[in-house]
Amino acid sequence: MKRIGVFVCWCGFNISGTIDVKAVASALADHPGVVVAKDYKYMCSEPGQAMIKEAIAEHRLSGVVVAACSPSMHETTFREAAQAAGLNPYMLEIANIREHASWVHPDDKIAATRKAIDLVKSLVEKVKRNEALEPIHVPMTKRALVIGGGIAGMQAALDLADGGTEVVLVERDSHIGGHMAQLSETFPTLDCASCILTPRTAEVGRHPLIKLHAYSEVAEVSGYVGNFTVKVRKKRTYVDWDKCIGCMDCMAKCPKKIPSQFERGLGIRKAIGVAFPQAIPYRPVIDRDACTYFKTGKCRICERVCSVGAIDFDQEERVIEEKVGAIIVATGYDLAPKAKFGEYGYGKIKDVVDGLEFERLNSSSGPTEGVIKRPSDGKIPREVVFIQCVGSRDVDKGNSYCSKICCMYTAKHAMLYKHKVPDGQAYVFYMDIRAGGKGYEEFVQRAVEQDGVLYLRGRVSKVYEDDGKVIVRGQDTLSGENIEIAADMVVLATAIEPQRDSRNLAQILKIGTDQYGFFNEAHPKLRPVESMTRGVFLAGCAQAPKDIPETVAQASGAASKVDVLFSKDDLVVEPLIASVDEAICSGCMWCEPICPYHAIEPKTIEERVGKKSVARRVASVNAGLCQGCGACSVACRDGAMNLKGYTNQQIMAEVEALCL
Amino acid sequence: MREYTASLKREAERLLSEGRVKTVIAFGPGIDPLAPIPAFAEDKDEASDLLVNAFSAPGLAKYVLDEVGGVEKPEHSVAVLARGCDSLGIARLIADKRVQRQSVVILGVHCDGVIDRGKLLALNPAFSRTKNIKSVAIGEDEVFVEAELADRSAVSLRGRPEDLLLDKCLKCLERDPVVFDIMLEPEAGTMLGRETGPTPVGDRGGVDQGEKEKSLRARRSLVAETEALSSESRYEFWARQFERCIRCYACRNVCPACSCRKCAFDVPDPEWVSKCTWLSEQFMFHFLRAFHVAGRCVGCGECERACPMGLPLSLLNDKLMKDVEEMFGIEDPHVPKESEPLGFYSPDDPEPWAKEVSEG
Ligand SMILES: Cc1cc2nc3c(=O)[nH]c(=O)nc-3n(C[C@H](O)[C@H](O)[C@H](O)COP(=O)(O)OP(=O)(O)OC[C@H]3O[C@@H](n4cnc5c(N)ncnc54)[C@H](O)[C@@H]3O)c2cc1C
Ligand code: SF4
Ligand code: SF4
Ligand code: SF4
Ligand code: SF4
Repeated sequence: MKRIGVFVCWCGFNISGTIDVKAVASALADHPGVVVAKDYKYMCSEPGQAMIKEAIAEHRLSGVVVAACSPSMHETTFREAAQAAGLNPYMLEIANIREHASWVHPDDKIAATRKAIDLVKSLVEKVKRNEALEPIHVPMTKRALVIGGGIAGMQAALDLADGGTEVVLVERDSHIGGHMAQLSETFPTLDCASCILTPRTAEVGRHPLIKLHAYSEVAEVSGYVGNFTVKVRKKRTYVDWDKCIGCMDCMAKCPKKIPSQFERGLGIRKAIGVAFPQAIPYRPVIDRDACTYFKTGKCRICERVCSVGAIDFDQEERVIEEKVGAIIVATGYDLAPKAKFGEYGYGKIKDVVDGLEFERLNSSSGPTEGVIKRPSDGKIPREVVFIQCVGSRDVDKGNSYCSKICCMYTAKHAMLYKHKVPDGQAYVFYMDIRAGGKGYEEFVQRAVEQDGVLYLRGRVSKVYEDDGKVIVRGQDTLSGENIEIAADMVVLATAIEPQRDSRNLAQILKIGTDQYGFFNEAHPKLRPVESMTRGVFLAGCAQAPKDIPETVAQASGAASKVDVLFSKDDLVVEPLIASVDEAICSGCMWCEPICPYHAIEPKTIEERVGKKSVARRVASVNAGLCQGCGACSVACRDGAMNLKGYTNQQIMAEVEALCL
Repeated sequence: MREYTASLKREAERLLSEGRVKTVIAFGPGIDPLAPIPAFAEDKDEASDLLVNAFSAPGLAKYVLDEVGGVEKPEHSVAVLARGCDSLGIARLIADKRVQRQSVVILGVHCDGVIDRGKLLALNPAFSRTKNIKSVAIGEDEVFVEAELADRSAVSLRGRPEDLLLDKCLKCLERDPVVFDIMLEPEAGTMLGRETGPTPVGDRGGVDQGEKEKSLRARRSLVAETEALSSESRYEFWARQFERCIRCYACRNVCPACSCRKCAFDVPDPEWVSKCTWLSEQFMFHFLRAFHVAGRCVGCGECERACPMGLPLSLLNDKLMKDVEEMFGIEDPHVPKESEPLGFYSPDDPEPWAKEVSEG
């Protein structure tokens, strides 16, 4: 016999102001199977919950319906109360008579009350068919994958490894450090970037719990939270890194010089070697496109000078498999491509550079050893114009968002320039200054007040070259005057954009991106470091533009989310998932491609038919992957697929209670 | 239909004696020469009784499911005779993973249409005493039938295709099989009983796009007619149809798209549709049936042919087929495909109905 208890909440006046709660309780008291029906001012309060617990014990209830607010508010509260009283939590259901009745029918008390009674009755009919469910335990691999070895990826990897979790770190480039390795000094304290970065890269390099795959990419990810299988593609370096001792004799002797990408084309490197002296791992890579041997079939000088025989021109790409339980995506950003900004002369005029190029010109380890020289003729620029918001907040260029850090690094650039060229003049064209952050506003003020940087509010209309000068035309929108500056150099604060291939990675990881290609967080406020896919977390500029402090904070946040996940013995998932009645299932697999989470697979069962045993295909649901969306159960024609907690039988009982 | 019986027997005997298949599904003589019945030959003797002719009305696809369906590795294979409509049904069963392609040998034949015994008898009841069909010719605008009666007298009839062929054949979408292993050869130069009958009124052989277009147009115009009705008259129209349904489930049993191990209509709990024949339950039954085959119906017309009450089931199927074609841009929606328009998840599903709802 079903013994159902019904508890009607007043929610203060929220419900009782419109619905006659006493009438609801007494109508339900007469409903078949209901053994107790009560009302109370605030069911979610301690006394309210106590009332439910007592009734469960006193009336030996087999099921409970709480008529109150939306289940998204207090379902957990009430289910925990039921559990405390010894009832399986899934034997309790919420009838939403607030959002679905009192709030939407404030002007018709009688109809609202009638509707509330119907809603509660349908839930009573449902709960009669509820089954006791137990959370499902899925084993997990307590090992994390971090994709991207910029400051975000490194921070996350170190936090996890320091806490005792093994980390696989995959970096596409030949070295870790990301964009931060290219910076000279960092706002707002102006400490040198490599001074704070290199201790980190070194630590990552030697940490016993961090397995670093540099010059590698994630090719494929399968599985689900707790149980991902990752295929990592190790690209060809043409150097056996295990044999290599890092003497860099090869780099010294290689005759082929090429523009260095790390120096953003302002410096040179060799066809074999490392990008910069502090690179971790300190192991060389041959640039196949530049190498003379690969082009002409002759040279192999590096091979001759290598004392340990590490050069391997026939090296093959390798794909290795790693098992992990969680993934942190920290693939960072890219600057908007030069091609976009023809009107600023970028890409055409040598002395128009972007922010990262300026960082390299200002870096003591950069191509000019920290002396700010302009690229065209190496002269020290006397007048420098900085232009903000290039490609950001600009719908025409496709980015309506603010890149967030350009105000700050432009102030930094202008300041650093003034420190090195005190008699030079720095101009900044800006739309407005966004310097929210600890010590940030003060930092910009210092640039203006102490270093005499001239801020001009307005947009630049044209930049062109004339007689060795870069002419910048624009308008000062504050004074309304047209301005023309004959500058020696122009620095563009170009937009921070997602990595060009971020959508591709999103597909591999089955996570979402926004319209620009930044990875989507699960909730903009409450779940900023999680993606929509369980077990995949986000950190750094890959999610949205941000500066280093914020990147590090998010990375630590993501790492602690992984720690929380791994703190349990195994993965506990809600039992509200799909299940297959194998006796009915036809094995048509119609449900398989319908599942958005790829949770359904065919499996073969052996069955006795008469005296023989035959093999038959049926669908099977992976409990780790199923999110309980119910798409499959709707698609299944014979009703073999059923969603626990929302079975066809339960739903039909609800419908019948409402309609008959 | 051209004469295929000889080559059918030949292939059947070969396949059986080589042990390639355990059963050959085709037709055999029934009690009534105008109504051959599905036959299952398991040896040479039985194979010599097989036939196929212009009166072979039942579709054969569903029998394949009974013979080898459902299991992963059937112990044996079967061979089945397939006209265009049969082949569509077999393709459906294969696409629905109910039959493994490798366990069925499809013996394809070209088909010009099948004579509707009921229509023939209505035009001339004398045919009910047929002992022997002497000659049949099915042409584009004319059909001719000649039979020898029990008293040895002869009777013949000449009429328009619409007056003599099965309705489903007038809307035929595929005269040739869409999938087959062996295409049977018609007897060289002969049409059934050509020597006594009239010269055939034009050979309808070969893939004829024009024919298909004509059939499609016929189907579409019927759909358009019902679509044009006001919703009240449309309701009345369907209520009139559904009221007559006796819930024999013949339409389901014969349908190659209805191949579930346990049909939703046979499940006691939840009782999706009650066994009562109140109008609301009749509507529910017919909606469920139509929606369960939506996007998968092959347009074989078997349901309508099997229905003892003459419900226009194809009309309902064709409406859904047209919607699938238009909403999802699917070409030849009747031909089973690798991935079906309603059978996968896509974040950018067109969801035209959702749009319709939101735009009012
Ligand atoms: C001109 C300029 C000046 C700046 N100055 C400052 C400053 O002074 N102070 C400050 O706080 N911030 C500054 N920033 C911002 C700072 O650069 C970023 O906040 C920081 O670098 C973000 O780190 P990240 O790890 O998220 O991304 P990144 O530094 O971009 O690192 C991402 C890493 O992931 C790797 N990667 C990418 N895709 C893949 C893939 N598919 N698989 C494997 N690996 C991949 C990349 O190779 C890279 O190593 C400045 C930015 C610019 C443009
Ligand atoms: S659960 Fe349903 S849809 Fe899935 S394979 Fe079984 S019968 Fe087909
Ligand atoms: S309920 Fe949703 S997530 Fe779970 S198996 Fe079915 S379709 Fe996939
Ligand atoms: S619904 Fe009718 S026309 Fe469609 S496949 Fe089934 S039997 Fe053939
Ligand atoms: S075959 Fe006809 S009468 Fe029988 S259930 Fe189907 S529609 Fe109804």
